[in-house]
Amino acid sequence: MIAALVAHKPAWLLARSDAPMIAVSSRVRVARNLAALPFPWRATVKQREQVIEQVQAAARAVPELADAHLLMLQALSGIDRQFLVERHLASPEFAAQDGPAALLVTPDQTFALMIIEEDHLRLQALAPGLALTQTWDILDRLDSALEQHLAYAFSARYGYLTACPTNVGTGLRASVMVHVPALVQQHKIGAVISAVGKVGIAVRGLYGEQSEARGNLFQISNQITLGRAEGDIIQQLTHLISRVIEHETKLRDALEKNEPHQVRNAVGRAYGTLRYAEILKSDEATDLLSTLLMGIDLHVFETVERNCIAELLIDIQPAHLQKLYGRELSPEQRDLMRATLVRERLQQHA
Amino acid sequence: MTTMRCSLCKKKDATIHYTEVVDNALQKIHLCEACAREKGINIALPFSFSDIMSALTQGLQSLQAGGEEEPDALALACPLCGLTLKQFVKQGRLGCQQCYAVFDRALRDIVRSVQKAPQHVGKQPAHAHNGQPVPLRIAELEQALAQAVAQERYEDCAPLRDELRRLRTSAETAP
Repeated sequence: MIAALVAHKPAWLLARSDAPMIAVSSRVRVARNLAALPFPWRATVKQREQVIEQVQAAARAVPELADAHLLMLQALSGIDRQFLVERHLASPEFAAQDGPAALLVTPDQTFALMIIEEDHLRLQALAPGLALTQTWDILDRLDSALEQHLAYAFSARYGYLTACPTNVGTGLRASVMVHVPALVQQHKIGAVISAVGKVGIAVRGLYGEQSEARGNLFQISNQITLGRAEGDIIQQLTHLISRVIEHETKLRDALEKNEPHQVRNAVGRAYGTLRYAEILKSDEATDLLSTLLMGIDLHVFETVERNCIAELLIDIQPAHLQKLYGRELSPEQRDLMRATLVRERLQQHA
Repeated sequence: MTTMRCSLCKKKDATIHYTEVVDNALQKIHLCEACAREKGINIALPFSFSDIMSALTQGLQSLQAGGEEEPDALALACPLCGLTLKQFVKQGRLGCQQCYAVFDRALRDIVRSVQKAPQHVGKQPAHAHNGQPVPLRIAELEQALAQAVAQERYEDCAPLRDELRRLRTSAETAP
């Protein structure tokens, strides 16, 4: 079943328009717990199994999940688990567990349901671009459909009850992955992070440490889940991210206008390295692909399609490489295979 | 004593002061440089809520450990999952639905600090699985509102009223 996921390009990854890929993808998740059983960290193995059984039975009754793949965590290898994290279908916390847990994923990977994470259920929907409203709408419908068959822990005061008080209320976390090379280059990202932090929104680097995000990719998400309706949370975040996109667009335009040679030089050099390198480390490849992506957005580079770069950003990750090449690879071998994969993909387009 | 102690280690003097204003509520955290560094806190980054949680729960813990009024408070346990207040404070996580009622007193301040709001607004399970059909919920909200007014917690009233209005409207328009 993992093989099917490896082979199938996720629907949320591929852009559907020719607009610049500043908002790469949108994700909304809700946390839910069954009323009758302790939350996962306090539950016995038997109780966890009961949760899995009950949720599985509920999912069978929901048409949208009829053809979903069911993956039992304990049957998955370390690489398979890491692959799911890299694909944004499972959280690192979920993948690192020892006890019983399960994951339901639709074939197009738009929906994923983690059963037994910090909460009994973590249900998520993903979509390309900035599309939080639509993503919440479809997630809301699926959540309501599941809820017809499950008794969720809920209180009038605290809303949906979760293991951690940071998730109570709506249990909703909405996030958008943004690609903002100009904001990073002009040292404006720090100001954006502290400005949005003041209204309960967090910005985190997607790869690497918080302070130095690789590939200029960041995740922007709401932190507050109580006291605001889902629609308001989504609306506020959408508004804020639209402003970030505007800001990035203006900086990019200025960059291209004021320093056209530097921009073309950076993009050309990135392409040259990616096209001919024999050894590529993950960080280096991510940063170079980011430069190329901006080049495509600015129309200074037209050899390769945007979606080819978006796919590579996912496929060059360690577990992806090992799944694509069908064997375990040492870090040194990965750097070689990463360079091979990138060369081949770029050559197909040249 | 005018110097501020670090909210995390409680030993060194705090030199980093973090203030955040959300919905007119002021949130302050004071840290020494060593703790800030250990937490990987970059001045340009806002704190994660887990940091705030840990500072808060540690504060609560020392308060409870001081044990002036309720020496046994930390031994308070949830009858359903067995979680004690001490464990809750240490882990920052609740064990089950019942814990929310058992640890209500400790929880109110923590939720308010983390979430800046006291009351859920938004989606509710359509089916009254939790033994809380809409009329019951309305009664509960009315009680909470009366209590908030009596205790002059006016900032808590607006969301309660909004929720009540919404529930009453939906109850009236329901077939």
